[in-house]
Amino acid sequence: MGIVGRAVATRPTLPITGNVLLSTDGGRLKLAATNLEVAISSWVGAEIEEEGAITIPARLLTDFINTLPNDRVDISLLPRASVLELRCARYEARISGMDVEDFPPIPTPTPGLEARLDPEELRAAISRVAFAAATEETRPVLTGVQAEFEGDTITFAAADGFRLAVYKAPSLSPVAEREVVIIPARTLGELSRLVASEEEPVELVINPQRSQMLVRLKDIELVSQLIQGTFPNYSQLIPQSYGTRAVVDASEFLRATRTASIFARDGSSIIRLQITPGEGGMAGRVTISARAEEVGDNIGEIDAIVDGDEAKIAFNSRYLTDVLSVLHGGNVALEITSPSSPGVIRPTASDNYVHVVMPMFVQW
Amino acid sequence: MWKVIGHERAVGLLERSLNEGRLSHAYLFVGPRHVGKMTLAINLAQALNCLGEERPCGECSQCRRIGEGKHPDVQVITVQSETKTEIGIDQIKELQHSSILPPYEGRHKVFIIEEAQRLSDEASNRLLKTLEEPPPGVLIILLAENERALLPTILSRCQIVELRPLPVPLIEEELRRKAGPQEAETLARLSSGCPGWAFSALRDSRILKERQEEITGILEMLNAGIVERFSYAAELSSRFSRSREKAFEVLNLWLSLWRDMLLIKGEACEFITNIDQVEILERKVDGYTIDQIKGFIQSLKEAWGQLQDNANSRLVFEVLMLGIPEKGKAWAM
Repeated sequence: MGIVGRAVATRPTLPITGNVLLSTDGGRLKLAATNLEVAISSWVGAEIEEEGAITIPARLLTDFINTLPNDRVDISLLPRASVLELRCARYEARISGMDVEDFPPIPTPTPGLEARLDPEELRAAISRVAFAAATEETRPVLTGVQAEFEGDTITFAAADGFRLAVYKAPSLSPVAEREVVIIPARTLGELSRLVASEEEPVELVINPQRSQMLVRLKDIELVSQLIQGTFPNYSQLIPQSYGTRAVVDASEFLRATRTASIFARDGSSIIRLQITPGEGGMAGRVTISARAEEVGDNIGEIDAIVDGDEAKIAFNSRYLTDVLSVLHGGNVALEITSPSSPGVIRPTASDNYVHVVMPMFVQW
Repeated sequence: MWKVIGHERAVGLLERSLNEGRLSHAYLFVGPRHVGKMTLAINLAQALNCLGEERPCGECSQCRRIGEGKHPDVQVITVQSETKTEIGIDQIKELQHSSILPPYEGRHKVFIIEEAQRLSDEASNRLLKTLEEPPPGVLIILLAENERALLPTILSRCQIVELRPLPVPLIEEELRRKAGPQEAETLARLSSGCPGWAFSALRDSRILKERQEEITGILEMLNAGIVERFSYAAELSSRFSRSREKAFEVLNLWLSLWRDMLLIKGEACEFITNIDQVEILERKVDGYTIDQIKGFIQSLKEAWGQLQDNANSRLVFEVLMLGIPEKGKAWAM
């Protein structure tokens, strides 16, 4: 219930989408819910005595089940009236349901494109990319994450106009032709929760019309509507060269950024970075500072291996903390060309992730 | 089979565009309350998603669930609760979010915005972009009583379909299938060309009873003293603050009764709306001059306008009550 509950509509335009569909399915009990954007089905082992199906309010069922002792639950459909009876230990409950006929059918996309993915890679892709998607609907395609299937890689990309995140994940089943779809960021949020405990490869199925995607996990299936439209061509946004490159420890960089953002939050969230190359015996360093009028200011310094000239740039503190928080551990490289051109952050350990952040214009 | 009663022109237009695949991406259906705007919109949504041969068939699972308001791809957007007066920007944001996703199970997504005149300015402006260029497979239908209440920028982005009140005999004919001839005639007349009202009055006898109570109240006021009139005004104004809709309905009833009195005075009884009140009205009309009746109808219209401009409702109703003409005296402005 905890799984499908995520797909139950909270403010349903269609009242029945606040319900969960219970049905018997080949010796198992199937639970399904949909909010018309994402549908999640989950199967649990059960001893089926008689086939049947009903939809009942999800909230009520979840709340009731959560209070039950850890024991066997007997579920039965009362004849005629659509009422579900639950018995567990010395508790029992009857819940009125609605007709299964009226429940929106859970889509079953016909396979047009199939891919398999390591769950670890999927988790990483989602955590490193999805946060960069836009939350505003002004440019609908940007509220999604583009997934590009080409050869044996799947490239996930998201952008919101101020930043861009691109992650390349290896696919376990190469595709013959290049294919591009846009997956709603919300779907991926749900998906990352579902794959958290998954060990088997995750199967992705996309229908030929490119309008729905099915994600098959062990005992769970998620079907999502896909965003229609064309994702902007982002490859030209990634700077190909840099003037200054600083390699720093990710967690140290994150800590310094967090400190600075405390002072930045009263201003306009601006934090300033100054990169100084090492001289003589001194190591290079990055100074991270923020100041707010009439509040105060702070300066933090971290060691860095600097390649190139001295450089300055300012970023929105949130964009910087967002990306650094998902890059836990290891070193990251910060590459900049000028205070007015985008900065690039990438982990040094692998070249599968690139994050581009637009700078902020400040008086130095 | 199109289920909507009458409106051959509108239905014809939609059917032609549908068959030729030239359907506009946004429609505005304009017409009085209960005239059949929603029915037409639902019909159009059914026609777009119907699986049957003759669209809309009204019988396939798509048509059936759209008709029952249970289809995931047909959404009606309306004022969320009694206490709210506007369709807010959040509702439009949700519409936009949902519009970029492909239809869930049908062929087309249809958004019906009921009472589009209640869109807040922000919501209207937000809607503009979607109205102008909806994603493929999305149709937006706005319903409104009066196109002038909408922003011009909205109007220019929709194809406007005007629905006029239907001829009374047509409604009578439809009603006869479900009601006796006497009842059918009365209801058809009372509906002033809006079948929706007639059918809901047929289903729910309270509607007629409430109307009768209102009429009794109104007619009493004609002979009442100043104290009663003022307490009536006070009551009306408190109802206005609870529900503007209801108060405007009462005002409408005032208008239609006085219109009928004018018709009786002018000996054009065949056109009157409230045929169940003819005898009382005939008695009441005695002693008023045509000018007096005309004058008061004018005051009613003014009151209407003032209320819509958010004047103090209590004052408006009091002035109105003071303006009820007195028999035998000339109308004084």
